[in-house]
Amino acid sequence: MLCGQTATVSGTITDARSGETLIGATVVDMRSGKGAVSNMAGHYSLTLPRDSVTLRVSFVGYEPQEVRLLMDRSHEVHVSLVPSLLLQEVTITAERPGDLRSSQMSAVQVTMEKIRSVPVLFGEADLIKALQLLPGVQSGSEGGSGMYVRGGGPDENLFLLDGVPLYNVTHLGGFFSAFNTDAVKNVTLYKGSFPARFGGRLSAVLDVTQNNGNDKELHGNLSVGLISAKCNLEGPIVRERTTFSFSFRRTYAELFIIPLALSLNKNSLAGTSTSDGGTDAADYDAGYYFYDFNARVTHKFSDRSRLHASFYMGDDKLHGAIHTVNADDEDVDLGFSSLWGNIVASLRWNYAMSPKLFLNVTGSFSRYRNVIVGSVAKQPTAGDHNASTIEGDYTSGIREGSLRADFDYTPSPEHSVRFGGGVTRHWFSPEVATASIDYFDSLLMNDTLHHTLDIGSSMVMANTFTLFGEDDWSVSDALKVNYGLHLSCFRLSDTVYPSLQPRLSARLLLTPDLSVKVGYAAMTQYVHLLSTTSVTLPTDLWMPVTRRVLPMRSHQVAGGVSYSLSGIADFSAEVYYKHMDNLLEYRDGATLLGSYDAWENLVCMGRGWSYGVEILVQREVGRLTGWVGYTWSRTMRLFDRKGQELNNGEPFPAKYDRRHDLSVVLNYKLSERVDFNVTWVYSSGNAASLATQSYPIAQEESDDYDHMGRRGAVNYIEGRNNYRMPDYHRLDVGVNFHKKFKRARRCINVSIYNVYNRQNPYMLYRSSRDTYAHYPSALVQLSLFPILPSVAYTLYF
Amino acid sequence: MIIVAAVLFVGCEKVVDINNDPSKELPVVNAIPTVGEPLFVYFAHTRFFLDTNNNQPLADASLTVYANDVPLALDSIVRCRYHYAYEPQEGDSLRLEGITPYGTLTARTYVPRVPTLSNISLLADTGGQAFRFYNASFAFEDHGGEAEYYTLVVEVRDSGARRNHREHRIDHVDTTRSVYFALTDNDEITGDASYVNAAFGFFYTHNYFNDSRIDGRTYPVKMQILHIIDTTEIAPFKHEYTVSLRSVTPARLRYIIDASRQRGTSSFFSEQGQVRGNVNGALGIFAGVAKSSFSFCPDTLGIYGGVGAVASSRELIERVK
Repeated sequence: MLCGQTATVSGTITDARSGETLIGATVVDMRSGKGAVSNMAGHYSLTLPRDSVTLRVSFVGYEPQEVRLLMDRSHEVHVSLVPSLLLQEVTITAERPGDLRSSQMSAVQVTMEKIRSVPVLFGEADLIKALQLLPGVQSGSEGGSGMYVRGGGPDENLFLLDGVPLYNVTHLGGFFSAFNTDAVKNVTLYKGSFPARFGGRLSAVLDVTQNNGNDKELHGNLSVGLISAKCNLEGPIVRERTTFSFSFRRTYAELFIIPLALSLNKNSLAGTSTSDGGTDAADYDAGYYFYDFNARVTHKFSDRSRLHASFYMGDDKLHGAIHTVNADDEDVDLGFSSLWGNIVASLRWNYAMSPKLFLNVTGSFSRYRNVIVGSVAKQPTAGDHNASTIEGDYTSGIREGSLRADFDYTPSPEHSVRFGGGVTRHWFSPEVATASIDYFDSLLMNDTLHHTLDIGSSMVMANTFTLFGEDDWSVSDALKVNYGLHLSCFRLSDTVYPSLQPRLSARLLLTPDLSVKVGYAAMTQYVHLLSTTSVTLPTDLWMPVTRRVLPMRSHQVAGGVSYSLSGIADFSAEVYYKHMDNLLEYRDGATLLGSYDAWENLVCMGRGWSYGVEILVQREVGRLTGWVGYTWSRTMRLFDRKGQELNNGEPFPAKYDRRHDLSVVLNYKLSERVDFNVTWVYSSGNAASLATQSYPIAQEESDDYDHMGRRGAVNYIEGRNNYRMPDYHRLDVGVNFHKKFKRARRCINVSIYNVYNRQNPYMLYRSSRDTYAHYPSALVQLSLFPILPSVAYTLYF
Repeated sequence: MIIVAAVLFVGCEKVVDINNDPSKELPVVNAIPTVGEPLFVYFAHTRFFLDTNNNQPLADASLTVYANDVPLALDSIVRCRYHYAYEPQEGDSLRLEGITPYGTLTARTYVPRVPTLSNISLLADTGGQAFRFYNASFAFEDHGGEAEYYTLVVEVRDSGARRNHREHRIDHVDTTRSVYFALTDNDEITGDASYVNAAFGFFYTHNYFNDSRIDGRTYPVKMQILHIIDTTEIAPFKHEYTVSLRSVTPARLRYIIDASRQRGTSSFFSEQGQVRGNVNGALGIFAGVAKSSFSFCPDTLGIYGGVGAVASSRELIERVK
């Protein structure tokens, strides 16, 4: 389509080896310097003056290609890039990072190679743990997969898997993320200056795209780590037309860990003395596992039209059962199980309606649910005639279905417009608990007791409507501005919360290697995660805003500078300030566990602010690659609203307020067969509330003793999070041994986590010498992971 | 792998060195002036949380308590307790002033009115050989002042020794909402475990506070008590339930709530709360209380009496203090 004196070149950029579309590849007209970036479908569109042009198409890790065209009309040009690793005797040249020229700031695109190059825990490469090594991103606790981005909580991050929100992103209490790296193609993390197409969370957006699958031949890999095994298979169903990619991961640690744990605890579990003075052997059954299944099928109707069907399912299951004989010679069965996890499914249609207009329509479904069941059953024996069963179950979860459409429109060389909208239907099942007691006396046939107690809330339904528009405007060669607006409206029963969220970011190119950027983003969040610990527990609840609990809002401004020292390293530094409102914290002493109060009564609302400096130095070429990231930050909370005061209405540091956070990640490629990885992290200690003074509780005459027959004491806490845990630091090393076979290659990864066995603080607790002691006798630090070697074997075919 | 797994399960613990900082010590005043009971004031300073010594009296400190603006005579000082020759009465206005090395302190309170109980009854409900439900109820009059709050304390005693008690708070009775509670009461009791079940019983109730009013200021309280009967071969154990309704000041209620939260949820899963007092310049509480109570022995009502065995109101009211 011609438009005045311009013509448009558009197409798709793919990997020449697999046919996989490349996201974020750049297309630049060498003469004018104007360029475009491929979108999530690998599609690009660039409108240029009618003339002969030379396009340079490049992507990190791929050999750039140049395409010469006479722009006498609009062209479709599909480009396949060859991975650099496949080229022999090629000197890898440094591409000027897109980050330098893009108007987007506070965003990091991470390749899977980078993620896999980080030394791993238990031999399991982990996407979120790799992201935690970036400046501005902190881990919640030792080994955890929570992300604390620029002072925000883990519930303030939007995790998108193929564009669909994923609510529970961790396994095993948070030690592993739910993202199987074998199934992932691209990861982009936004820490601020959010593009207008994103919304719904305050602090970060992690946009994860799954592999489409190789459209030429069947490929895959098998990997065995210390606690899990995984496999990935991808290939064409119809060559260069329909592809699939399936990945499956499952832990098998219960095969040895649970029996070991039971063995270690056998005495305590089976130590009940029977009436004859002996000790009964008890029957045990216990297990834990998690699994992930990722699937994606892509069908290419034409070069302009593709259909993607994506599916993810992942669950954790913890279960246990004990059959034993108690002190009264009664058979007792104890059972417990907990199952929690996600299902995400989506159907997406990409269609290049014209060289300038690209359509993306998505229908999706996401579900997170958690079910906990426990039971105690006592069976009658020869000497007894009573039987009783106590059962309890607890269910919570969230489901949502959405339909949305968005468009990429390139009306002129200076403008790249995105706009669209959607609607999402949410179903919240906050918490439903059922307890039942059955008692039966065989001698007195009528002597039965049955009682059922239902506690909890009914399902809550809500709708979210969104509209957005953004324009990436090249004002001049030096100045580029991205401005946009995100409009959302959350409707819950008769309560409606509209929100208008402006977004702005700008880049000023001072020299070809130096740019300055600024950005602003307003964000609104309509769901809250109620979690009482730093550990991800299945009891964590996602709750909608209500009449009393208002949407969280944030305003973030950031500024930064990027400098590229071609062929050596890239430098970037950013400062930010973020103000957050309507944040939730538990009231003092409140806990979700065992409490069935209306959740709104357990929390209070307040404000927070965070500011800091982030510095990143990275090198992506040569034998030695890696990065050094440093963050200086401060994160505070203030809960001073009437009736909702925390810390007497005074400001206090957030739990994960850390002044210094440093990560050094180095990868050295010794040869084609061997490469080394080293990671060193250092951070200031977490804040914790610690009472160092105490005094007797004031009791009335008849209340002198607590329910344990002890006098009580009041702990005096100077302020919330008044105490700093010791600093955290850790060194991990890893080495990969690669070997190529005729039709396959293998990689053996040997990693050592916490090489110098640093006892990092996980939590502090006050320890007493005996159960009935009135006062603690020591402050004890619990550390989780000592030095931990691991090995993983991966076969690629 | 087994070695690694074993290491993980063992975990790593170490004691953190932390020293006392005397500059963080604060004075403490605790006093609960109760109608008809001699007044004493606990007066000391805080102690380092790892210090196993008892609290020590404050040196170079003085304390004066005023009742209706008249200074009270100090009867004796026993360790940290200042005893006064005075029994608080309904409506008394109390004031406290003190001087300590940490500075001066002041506090004020009043003595609430004694709650009036009526229509007390205990009705045996369904049950079996090993358990019995009782429906207990009574009514009480709210005095209507804005500053009157109540707590309900239920005690279980055996042979005169305290075995267990439960305390439940009631919001200001001007509200008409139901207060629900469900006690599982499976805590262990120190002492002779053989009698645990017998002495225990537990409250398992709904609508403990009924929605409806009997009249403008009289509120019915209903409880359902599941009493576990001792079926062991050991001699049956007599035990007694005491239900006590206390009128407390707002500061006292807030203190009870804070302390209960701090004590009950000082776990890994919750943020340990702060306990707010009402003494300027010191930690602690100075708050008046008035109470009424009645007792009953489920055993004497007839375990096998069947549904409908009733303890008469008159019998129970006679026990009301």
